[in-house]
Amino acid sequence: MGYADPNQVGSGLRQRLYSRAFVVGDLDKPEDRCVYLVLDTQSGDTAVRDGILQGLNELGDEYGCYGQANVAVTGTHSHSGPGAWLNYLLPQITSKGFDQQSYRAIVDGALLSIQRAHESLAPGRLSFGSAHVEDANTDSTPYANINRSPYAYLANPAEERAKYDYDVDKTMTMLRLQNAETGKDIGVLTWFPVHGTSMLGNNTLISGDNKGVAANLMEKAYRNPSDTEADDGFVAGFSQANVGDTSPNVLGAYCEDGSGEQCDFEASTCSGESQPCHGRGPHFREKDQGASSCHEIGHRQFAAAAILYDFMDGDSTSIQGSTVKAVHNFHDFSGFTFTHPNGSQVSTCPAALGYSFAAGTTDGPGAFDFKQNNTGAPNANPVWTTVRGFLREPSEEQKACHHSKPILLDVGEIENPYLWTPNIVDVQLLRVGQLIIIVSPGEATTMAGRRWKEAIRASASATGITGNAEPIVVLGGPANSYTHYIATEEEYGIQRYEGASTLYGPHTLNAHINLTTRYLPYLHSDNVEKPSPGPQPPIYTNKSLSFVTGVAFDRAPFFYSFGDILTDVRPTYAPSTTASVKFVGANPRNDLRLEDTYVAVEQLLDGSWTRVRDDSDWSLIFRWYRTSSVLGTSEVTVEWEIEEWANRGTYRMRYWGASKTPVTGTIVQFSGTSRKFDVV
Amino acid sequence: MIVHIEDGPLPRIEEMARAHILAALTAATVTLLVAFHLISAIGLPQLDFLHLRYEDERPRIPQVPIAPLSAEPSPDAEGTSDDQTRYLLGVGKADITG
Repeated sequence: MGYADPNQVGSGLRQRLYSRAFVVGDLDKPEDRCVYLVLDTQSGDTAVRDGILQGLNELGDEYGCYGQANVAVTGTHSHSGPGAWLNYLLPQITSKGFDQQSYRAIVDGALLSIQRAHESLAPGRLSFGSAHVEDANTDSTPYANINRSPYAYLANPAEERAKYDYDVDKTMTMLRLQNAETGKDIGVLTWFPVHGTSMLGNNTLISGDNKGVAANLMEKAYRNPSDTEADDGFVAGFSQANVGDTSPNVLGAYCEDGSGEQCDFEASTCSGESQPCHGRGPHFREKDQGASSCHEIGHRQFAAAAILYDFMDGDSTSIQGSTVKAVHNFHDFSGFTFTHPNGSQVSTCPAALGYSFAAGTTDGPGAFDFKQNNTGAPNANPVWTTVRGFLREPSEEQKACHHSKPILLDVGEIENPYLWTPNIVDVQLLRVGQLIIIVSPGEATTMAGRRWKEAIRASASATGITGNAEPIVVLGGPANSYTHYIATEEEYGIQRYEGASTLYGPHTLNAHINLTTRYLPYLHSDNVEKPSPGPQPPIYTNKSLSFVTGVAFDRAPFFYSFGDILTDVRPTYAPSTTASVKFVGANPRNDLRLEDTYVAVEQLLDGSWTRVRDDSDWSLIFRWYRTSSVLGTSEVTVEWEIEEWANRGTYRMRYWGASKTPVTGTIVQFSGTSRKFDVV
Repeated sequence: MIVHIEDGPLPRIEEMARAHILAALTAATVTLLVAFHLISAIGLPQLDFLHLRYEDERPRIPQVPIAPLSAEPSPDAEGTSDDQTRYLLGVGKADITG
């Protein structure tokens, strides 16, 4: 899923996507365990989670300890992945519906990651640490994240804001997992809030965005046979946190209309328009669809994690107390009545999106004449009000419920052809020792996440859930059922993008806090009860619309075969240049080559060819281009952006593909090899 | 053209070159003697070619300074690793590129 732009059609791969599974269990009670998944996807999803749970159930009794309560499916919030895998209609629209291949790749891969984690279970220890991610040279300069809606953040009470140094959380928290027998670390799980929007809206190459870069760098650094600290199978999870109003475009938002001025502070517009206003990443001048900025922000997270990891050798908090618990239920947020912190009775509303939702953000501006900070009466073309009426005119009750949000899309009350967004939402907490993980279905803003964590911490401390140890609370998401954003009540009133996308009205955050604090006692070490499961959400995988066309057939051009060279490499390249080769190709969707690679760089070492780069490497790019839909011909270009530190030597590039035969539809594997070239 | 080399006192340049060669040889001999003595005393350094190569290939942890870290103080700072609670732990990774 990208930027909800139907023109953003995939054209290749920059870096493969992964599911990283972390399983923690009680040594004395094997049935008490939890699974935290970090997927290189935009978010979790109702149907993806359901598919994973079904798959676990089909694996038999050995996997019977995993279920609704203790499996958390989080996404890193990358905006550079394939779409067409989500359950509800709204995110399907710009991806031309639902695609089983995309969906199954995620579900099957997630299952496989859980199986691998399960099969590797062994006694171990957990430790926890945290660090600020900022440049020590100029601590006022944004380093890895900034707030992209500071005008809304300023609406929070001054005394609350005064508790914090920044309008984003600059703290990276890390859980370190160590095998008790070998003493080696088997992985780390970090939380740090920054949007996966480093790759720009004109990018069409698959990647895990900046968190995918960070995870890959960390694993390659520590999966080193000579490393005595880390296990060969070391896994690094870079989980998303209270990401809602964060941005990796740390240089700020400027007008790309030639003026070069900073965007309007309140509405992020340029001369009254949203489209020209765009956030700038560290290397925004590079014409590479954001790739350099993406790698830079990923590298900054990796660098901070690596330093924190080493620092924790000498100073960290042990996770203690054998209790491993989880609690989950489904809750209908379309009309949940509860007691507000001020004592009044309030309700959430059926889901709806405001006009400012269509304005987009500085990371990805929207279309037409929509603007952020649209409260009260709509300030866009009145034609949109008519369009809204064709879909569903919100009732006066619905409008009153949503208060300062002028409703553009009454998504929670549209059921034709099926629900556009969830009303039934996952509520989930995990606990390991004194660590409590809030599994958030939405993108909580900075202050929303802080309030939520503090509420859980205070309640856990007051009730003694974690015994003598002070509770440590982290927030991971967006997870499970994707519910867009969770802003504070005050930020909601400003109705920037994040407020307009807070689906269930102004009391959404307080509803989440109410429910999760209510469920905290289920995490008590002696508890064996579960809350009622709640209403089951609909699963639309078998009835979703799909206008994603399959692969018709592939043909090689006359006088050519699949895998033949069209344009070969040059004899020599220098570091920091790009080696490129073009092959006769075929549609990559014929074979996703999961757990394998489409392309590789091989180096000649001691007379034999050794793979040194593959799809997991950022510097190796696979591009596919259909040259003729009628003839079925296509080309594949393989590019190696040779690193400045790459070894001098002799190399070649490889490509593996699969073609679909006309008429019979038979899939035939093939490969291509470039000639040798030297890096000098 | 045939160049005749006649016997007699060496030209000044040749004399200087021979003197420099002598100095260089002397310096080299002294260096070798010192190295031999050090190796005898300390031993040869171990060459781990593979390790060096992997170092080149690994993403380098940058020297960019990060703000001073502040890990949470450990309540068990006095305790040994044997006092730490043990859990069942497992990690896994798999491809989901659709």
